[in-house]
Amino acid sequence: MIQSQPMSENPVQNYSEKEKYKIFDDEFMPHINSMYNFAFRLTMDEDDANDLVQDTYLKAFRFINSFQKGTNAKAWLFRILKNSFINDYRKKSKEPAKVDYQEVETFYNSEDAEADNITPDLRADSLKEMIGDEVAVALNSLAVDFRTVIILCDIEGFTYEEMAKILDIPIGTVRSRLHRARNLLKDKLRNYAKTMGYNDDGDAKGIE
Amino acid sequence: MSISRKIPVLLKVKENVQYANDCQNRQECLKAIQLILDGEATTDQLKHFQSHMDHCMPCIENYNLEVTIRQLLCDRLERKAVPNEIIDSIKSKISEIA
Repeated sequence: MIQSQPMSENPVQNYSEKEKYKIFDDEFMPHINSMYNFAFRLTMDEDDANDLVQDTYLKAFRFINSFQKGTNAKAWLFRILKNSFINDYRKKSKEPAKVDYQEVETFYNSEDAEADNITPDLRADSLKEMIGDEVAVALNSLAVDFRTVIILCDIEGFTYEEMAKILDIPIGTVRSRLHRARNLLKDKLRNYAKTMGYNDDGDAKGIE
Repeated sequence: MSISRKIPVLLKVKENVQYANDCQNRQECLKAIQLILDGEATTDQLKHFQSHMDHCMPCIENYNLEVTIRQLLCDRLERKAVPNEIIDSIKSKISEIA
């Protein structure tokens, strides 16, 4: 259960019952929709997302004395949610069992040289008509570790430092994983653009 | 539902500027573009890159692609609202813990 312990560098507080509820309502609850969307993107299942969010908020309340009032509640909550997901949900999700972070990193870094020589043929124009479901399909097709960094950075707007804390990885790894994730997402988007009949010059081929 | 991310605007190609059509440093530039868009670039990186990017067509295109993907993720992806039952259930459960 050590992983469930939220960021522990803060001194342990000793809040009164009244303070606990106030912190919970004022600092934790405002993030519940972001948390719910994160949970849904991780589990890709509404029931699991409901359970994950609920478990996370209950844990947050139990561990509230290790949260320092007025600090970064959103990052603190996201870290608990991510740990709960790894411990309790990842096993039963439809994902390919457990992805070994290091293995993933090594694999993709070894592809670096090759990947770097590919001229990007994806143009911004060819994505203009994309609808939300298509974006979701592309994002969901990424391994959960890559999906996660894109959600945290590009959707939730966390800094690299916050992401490093949420994910318990060094900032350098955040940077490289994010770069890799974006390249992978571009591959998916490139496939989309191709099936939609956009050619490499970015011109749409009209439907005859 | 609001998103915390602020997305920068697309770069415009100006008519009276001579652009380079090839970039010697494409991959390094792409990394720099991402740092800049993520708000993680140093002042030096920012300065260096901006003067380069004013004249480099591949980098302008890459920058605009990165911005477009962020727009897709923030504007097109469905944002769900947590069901009210979940909020009620959380509140009732924490009152039992206390």
